[in-house]
Amino acid sequence: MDQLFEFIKGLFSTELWPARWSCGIWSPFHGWLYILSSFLIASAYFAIPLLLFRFMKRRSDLPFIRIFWLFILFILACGSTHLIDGIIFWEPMYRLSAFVLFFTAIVSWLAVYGLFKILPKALELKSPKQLELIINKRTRQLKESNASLKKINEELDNYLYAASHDLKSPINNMEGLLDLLKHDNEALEQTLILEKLDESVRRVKQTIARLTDVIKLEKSPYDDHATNNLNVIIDEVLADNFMIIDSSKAVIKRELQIDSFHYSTSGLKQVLYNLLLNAVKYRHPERVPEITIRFYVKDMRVFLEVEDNGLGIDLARYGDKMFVLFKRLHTHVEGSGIGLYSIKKLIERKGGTISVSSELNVGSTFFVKF
Amino acid sequence: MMNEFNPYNCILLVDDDDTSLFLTEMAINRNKFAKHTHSLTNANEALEFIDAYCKEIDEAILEICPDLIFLDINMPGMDGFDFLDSFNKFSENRISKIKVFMLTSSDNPKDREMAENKGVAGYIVKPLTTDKIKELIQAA
Repeated sequence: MDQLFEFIKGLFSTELWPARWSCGIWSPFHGWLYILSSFLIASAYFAIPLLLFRFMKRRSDLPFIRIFWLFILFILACGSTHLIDGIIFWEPMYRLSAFVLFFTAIVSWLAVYGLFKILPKALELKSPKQLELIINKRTRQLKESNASLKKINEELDNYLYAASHDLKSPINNMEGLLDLLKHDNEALEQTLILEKLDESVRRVKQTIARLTDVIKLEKSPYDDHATNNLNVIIDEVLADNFMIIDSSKAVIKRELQIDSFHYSTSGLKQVLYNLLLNAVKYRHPERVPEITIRFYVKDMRVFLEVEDNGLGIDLARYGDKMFVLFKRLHTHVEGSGIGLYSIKKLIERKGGTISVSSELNVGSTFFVKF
Repeated sequence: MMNEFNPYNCILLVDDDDTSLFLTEMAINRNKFAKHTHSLTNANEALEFIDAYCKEIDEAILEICPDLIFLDINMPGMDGFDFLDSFNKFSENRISKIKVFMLTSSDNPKDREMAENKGVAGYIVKPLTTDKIKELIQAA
């Protein structure tokens, strides 16, 4: 204890030792080599923290800022030991030297500890090359989602366009009919106009009902996944639409390579229902409708084909309109223009595709890849 | 003064909507815009109609050939734009003189632009009122 007090009290005292020049035999070359080298090391050690500090100032987002401060302190301390080592040639401040060495030792080990602590985190930092790869990947993802957003936007545009058109037409008619009523005094025509007004109101109501259907359809999750026995499902769809199918005298054939298939039950029924009904609706007036339902597996995917011998479609002309909301290709049959649109959405949402091949007056085949 | 009445001989109306056809016919007749009208609910039939009556040399049949068409856009099957594509392919002098006016519920600028690109004489948003016909008569 006494030694410690004495050490601290005489921290700056130099009386007890000779200057280094007088201790031992130094040739001037040897001595100055030692002194100049020590000062050069010390000045370099003082310059490095300055540059580090400047770097830290400029890079405000720098991680591990505390370890940087610790390094600055460590380098300054190292520089001080070399500085004192040189000064000792004239001023034998061996106590201060010991104290600075001790201080440097502590700071050195703090730096070791600090570095050890942050090493795992530092390893997680991405290199510029890695960052570039990540950025490229994110850019690609962004482009993809941008494209799909554009597609959704386009669909929404089409939807709004179709909806507004189908609402506007009967309302425009009502406007015209009311205008006629105001100026028309002939009783006969008035009855006709009133009939047509009734019809327009019915059409507005019908359009609104259909729009509600579409909204319901977009919201339907089709998450009732189950292993569906295909014969049972087809039986059910046929039974649900017995009247329409029976009155068309359609012959329905089944070619099932698989017995069952895991899919949303309501979704599968929806697809079958729409394709079957389309085949029946657009039958050829001069022949008995023949509809073939095929299920098979190819490349690990389940496929459905619904082939008919109906009116057929001029695909070169109408191919791009087939699956568009509220588009109808035939004039003589009642249709809402929702069916094919809705099953396309359903199938695509589950990762599948739907396409059609057709020949006018020969028939159509719809292909579904589930 | 003659020009004020029946500026057109025959107007062909192409629209799948019966009520709309009825209204357009009423407006034309009331305003004596044409001597007669012919209504078709299907664009395909309209093309066949033009093909049948506008290529003849026989004057009596040419009487039926329209000198103006009011054309709807949204029709099942062949729509108004598809019709225009086929219609513009006719090379007969008589047919190229037929004026086509869009008469549609759509006030969408895209539809208007598309129609203009396909060379229509005008674009009218339904219903066809007396005022709109008066404008047409002044222009005729």
